[in-house]
Amino acid sequence: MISLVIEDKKSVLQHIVFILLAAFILSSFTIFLMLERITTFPSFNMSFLFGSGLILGYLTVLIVKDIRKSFLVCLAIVLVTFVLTALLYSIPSFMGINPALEPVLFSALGWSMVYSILLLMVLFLGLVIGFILHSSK
Amino acid sequence: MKRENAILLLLLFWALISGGFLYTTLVRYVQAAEASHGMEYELIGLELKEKGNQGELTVRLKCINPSSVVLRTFQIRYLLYVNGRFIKSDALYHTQTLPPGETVVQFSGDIHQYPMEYVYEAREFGKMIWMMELEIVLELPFKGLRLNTSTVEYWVME
Repeated sequence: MISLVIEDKKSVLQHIVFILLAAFILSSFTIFLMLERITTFPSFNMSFLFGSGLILGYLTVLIVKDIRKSFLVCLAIVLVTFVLTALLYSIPSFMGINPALEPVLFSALGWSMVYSILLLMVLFLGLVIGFILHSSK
Repeated sequence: MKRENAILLLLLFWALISGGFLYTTLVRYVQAAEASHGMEYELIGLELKEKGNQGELTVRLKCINPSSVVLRTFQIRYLLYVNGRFIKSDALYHTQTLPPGETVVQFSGDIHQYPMEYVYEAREFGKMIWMMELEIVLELPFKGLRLNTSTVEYWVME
């Protein structure tokens, strides 16, 4: 779907790399939030997650330039974040450490969905801020 | 350098830092999961000393910590039965370090006069089958994270 609206191969690759890196960053912050008491990160996780979402939304504007494409890229970032977070959270179950695979997976899917919805809103907010700043120039 | 490439480079750097933190967090997460699901207990000793009409019970419990993190016992709660009859319940704030591998935890408690009569009855029967329902609260070395583990152990005295 995205490839339909992006002109050349180089920019397609650039957009894919951007989506993957952004999703990885966001899913790591989501994991920190989900494992709050185990994390090695200081306990500012919520602000880190939403701060990163805002910055990445803004960077999407700089990379993609077009508002419609930017929304699609943000949507792709959130979808990849959702899948990656659920997979990372279920690691002990996949390794056979935690025998209860299904409840862990359902809880991982549930929580990553909640954070993904919030992230989508924050990314869109970053996009809007980016477009306002750039259209005023 | 084009602006797009500069942004991607910045993101790569950011992702690498996040990846470093994520790796250590996931290692801890896996260890915590191993500790909470793979903890094993084995009753290796149960001694009863009589003190007049009362008794003093000493329990030795082998704890096997399968994770690589150092755990600590926080509280030990138990219900004790002999030949199916309830003898005692207790909750002890017992702090002991459980390094990876096996550790023996020892604790004791008094048995009062009334339940001691059940012990004497069981002794007359010839065989004392002790059953201990244990609940051990462990402390993980992550911001005071606690987990409850439980086991049912048996001990036979001829």
